[in-house]
Amino acid sequence: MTEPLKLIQVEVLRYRPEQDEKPYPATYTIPFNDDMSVLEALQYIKEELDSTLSYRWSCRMAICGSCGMMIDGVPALACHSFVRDYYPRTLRVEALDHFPVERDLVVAADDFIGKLESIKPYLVAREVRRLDQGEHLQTPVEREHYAQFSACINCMLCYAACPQYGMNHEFIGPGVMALLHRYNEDSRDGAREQRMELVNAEEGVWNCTAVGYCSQVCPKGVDPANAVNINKINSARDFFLGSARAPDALPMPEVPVVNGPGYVRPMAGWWRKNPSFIRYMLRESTALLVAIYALVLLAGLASLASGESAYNGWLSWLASPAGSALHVVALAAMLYHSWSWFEIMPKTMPPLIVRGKRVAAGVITWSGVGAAVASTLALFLIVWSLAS
Amino acid sequence: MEIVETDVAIVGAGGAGLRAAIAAAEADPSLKIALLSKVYPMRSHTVAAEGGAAGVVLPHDSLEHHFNDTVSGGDWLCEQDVVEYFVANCTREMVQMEHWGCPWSRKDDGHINVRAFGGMKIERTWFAADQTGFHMLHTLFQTSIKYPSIERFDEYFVLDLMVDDGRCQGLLALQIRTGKFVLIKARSVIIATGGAGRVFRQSTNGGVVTGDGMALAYRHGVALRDMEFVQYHPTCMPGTGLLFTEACRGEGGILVNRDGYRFLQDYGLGPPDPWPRKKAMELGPRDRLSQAFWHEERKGRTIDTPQGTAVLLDLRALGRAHIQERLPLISDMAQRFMGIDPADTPIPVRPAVHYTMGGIGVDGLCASSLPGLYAVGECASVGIHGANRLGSNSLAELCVFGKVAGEQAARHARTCPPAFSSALEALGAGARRRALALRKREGGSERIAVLRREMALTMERGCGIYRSGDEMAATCEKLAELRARYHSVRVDDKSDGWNTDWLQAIELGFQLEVAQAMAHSALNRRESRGAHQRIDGYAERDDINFLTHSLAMYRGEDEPEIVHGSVTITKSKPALRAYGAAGEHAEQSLTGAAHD
Repeated sequence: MTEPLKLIQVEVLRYRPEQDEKPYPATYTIPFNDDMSVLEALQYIKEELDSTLSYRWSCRMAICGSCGMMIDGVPALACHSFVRDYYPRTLRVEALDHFPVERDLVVAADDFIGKLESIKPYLVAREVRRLDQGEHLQTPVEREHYAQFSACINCMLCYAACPQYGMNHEFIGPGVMALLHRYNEDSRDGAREQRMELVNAEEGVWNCTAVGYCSQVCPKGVDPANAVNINKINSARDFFLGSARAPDALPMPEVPVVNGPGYVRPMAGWWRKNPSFIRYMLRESTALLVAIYALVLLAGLASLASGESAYNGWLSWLASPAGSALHVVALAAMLYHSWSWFEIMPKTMPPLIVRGKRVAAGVITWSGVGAAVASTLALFLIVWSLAS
Repeated sequence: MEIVETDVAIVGAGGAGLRAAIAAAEADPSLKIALLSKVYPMRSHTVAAEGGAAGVVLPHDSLEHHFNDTVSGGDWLCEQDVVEYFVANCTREMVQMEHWGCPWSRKDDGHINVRAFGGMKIERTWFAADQTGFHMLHTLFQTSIKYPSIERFDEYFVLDLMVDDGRCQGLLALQIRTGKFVLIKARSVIIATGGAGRVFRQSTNGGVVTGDGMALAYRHGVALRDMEFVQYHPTCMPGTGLLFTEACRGEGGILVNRDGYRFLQDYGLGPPDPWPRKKAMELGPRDRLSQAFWHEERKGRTIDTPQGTAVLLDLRALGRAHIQERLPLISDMAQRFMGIDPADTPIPVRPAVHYTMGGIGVDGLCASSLPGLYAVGECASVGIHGANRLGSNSLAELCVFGKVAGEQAARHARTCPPAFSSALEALGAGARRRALALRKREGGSERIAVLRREMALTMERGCGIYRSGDEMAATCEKLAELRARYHSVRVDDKSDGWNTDWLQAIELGFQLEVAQAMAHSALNRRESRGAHQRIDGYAERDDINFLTHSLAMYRGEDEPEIVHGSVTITKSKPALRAYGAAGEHAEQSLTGAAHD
């Protein structure tokens, strides 16, 4: 029953501003068993090996949001991650990305808290009731509209997952946008128009480029990317249809940027840090091939205008090995681009509820893929029949 | 040293502290309010409360039922006038939470839903799935942002209260980030720092629950009341002590021993059918269920896990969809931490320390014996829990008495002499010097982690589910030894900012004194009542000698003095405390007697 303890190396990025110029890695060897969390590993280090190590923690059950850190390069809660999953490699632990490091694994949360406070994160009742009138009515379905977004524990992992926030702290960011959306979607609330000012602002949703990693790292299934991208639709609607701003609405404050103290880590090379970011860059770069192919078609148009021989030259270039290679590469890029587009589609649309149940992300993605394949085939058949 | 002047200073920004801050701000928007916490508000341990909060709503329920459940659940050690006020105000406060946006679970018609809870005769537990504390805390925190007069001091650690001229006039705090001290002069101070469960080993409590506020008040002569009553929650994860909410049983889960037998029927809680039945079997009170586990363990009818003995919490009858709707957090915890899907497999559980019934002695208006000092929430003993708290009364308590504390502190701030004593700066400097001396001490031989471990072990041995005089005396002795050794505790970290080594040393000092109040109160109570059960000849409740509160009085380096305080009885005379069929029978005969 008591299996022999295994040993694992834990590399912690230490930083004590009163004596260290910059962060440095310190390695500890600790014994572990299969149910030891990364938080317990840090507690072991503090109790047995080095009591100067500092980190935040409290509940141990992924609800207080204190112990967010980079674990093996991924934003995660230390209490909700297990040492066994990293063995036999070295377990690397660092402070959360994109926030200034105050000390060791502690980051400055000032900016996040300031943003949270700026969005009217409370119910502004649509219908004011006295206490003796009892509760507002809200059906389970109405509650379901915002329930997921009210589950945010403010652990800030999504900010550490968001390269846009890392590069530009003006961006309101995923977690706070999810909270804003939570109140906007609440059937009891009446301050939507006021909050939309923040959504529409420069530092609002339009800073988001749909990397989508924030939702991947969320420990509570809040899906902040969904909140941000639904609000792109809302914001666009506001822009084109004109905002229905209440005349007595108070102006919202600016989204503050409160840079807490601490060591600021450079963003250079951020996209190589993590497979999700690499996939994101690949997805974005495939758009380049779309542009290149448009230029190729433009060149064809130009050659058609300048005479038959030029056009034939263009056609023969298309048939050349280089031309064929370009087609193959462009086709692959566009297929990948289309796939990534459908893959992210569930995050960009409001929840689809059929017979009281939310349609799963996979169903949406594969429906999109199916529709795209079907319409491509149909187009192909039409062109084929016209040509023959 | 920075000096801040304010009207009301609140120590602790969990549910009780936030509710008090809002109440003070609403009572008089011109008052300045300083809200201090050693963590950001939403990290406070209120966040981990799962099951729900009590408030009478169903037509066949009544305030009298809630009163009777609470007073008998507390084994008649409750302040009955305070309980009357409490039950009369719970529902109003739950509605207030709804108006502030709390996402209570709903019925199809849009009204809020209630669930059954242990020791409660009728369903009256308001809930937000199994994350009720989380939602209440975030709702209160986010709502508090509306009030410009509330100035937050996030991640400030309070070191001492400033007491002069016979009244509390502020506190000294440490900004954790920088290690800088700030003297807060305040006309009223509210302590809302939560419980002290971390003085034990297996505990559902988060790392912040170290009894700081209790020790702060205790050191200034305020009695800690009924500290021997420590609640063991019956269904916790072996090893870590993480909580599986009572709502698991409220929703229909059952507890079985190694033979698949619903063992609670052997301990005066049966019969097992028909199920579910309120105030019976798995919906009995927590003290009785934890005691039943202890007996099963002695009889060898528990299962063995690598983390110790356990019984099984079986949720399979609920079905996957119901578990997902009502108990999603529980389900996730079982899968993550134990690799168990509760829809398919019963969860091994055992009792762990959960709640401190006792605390800073206050009256029904949350005022302590020290003028200007108020206390509310788990750190306080306002008198509603008696010898055993009923599940879902503590979240309701935060709201009901948070409001009272905030209003009373605001009233005091307006009516007390406006000038602060000139001695406060010197008092602050003294407290600062003591804190720094602990950090700067060289050559200490004792390690914080070792002392803390020994404290937790001896508390578990002496102040467990069942207690004996010898073991309690040994624990008292051990705690005296640990306090002596604490004088040579070593703080390795000498830096100013984010020095958690230093903070843990200060917390350990608080914990040892609070633990001592618990152990000595327990040793002095020569009877069995609620969560205090003795197996050394004092197995019965003794209303003649011990229908009294225990008051632990601080005596510096010496052991505390335990004196007795009277209990207010208004309409419920102490009677047989029974559950299951016996309880139903007792209730019928009581009602019969009332009609005679």
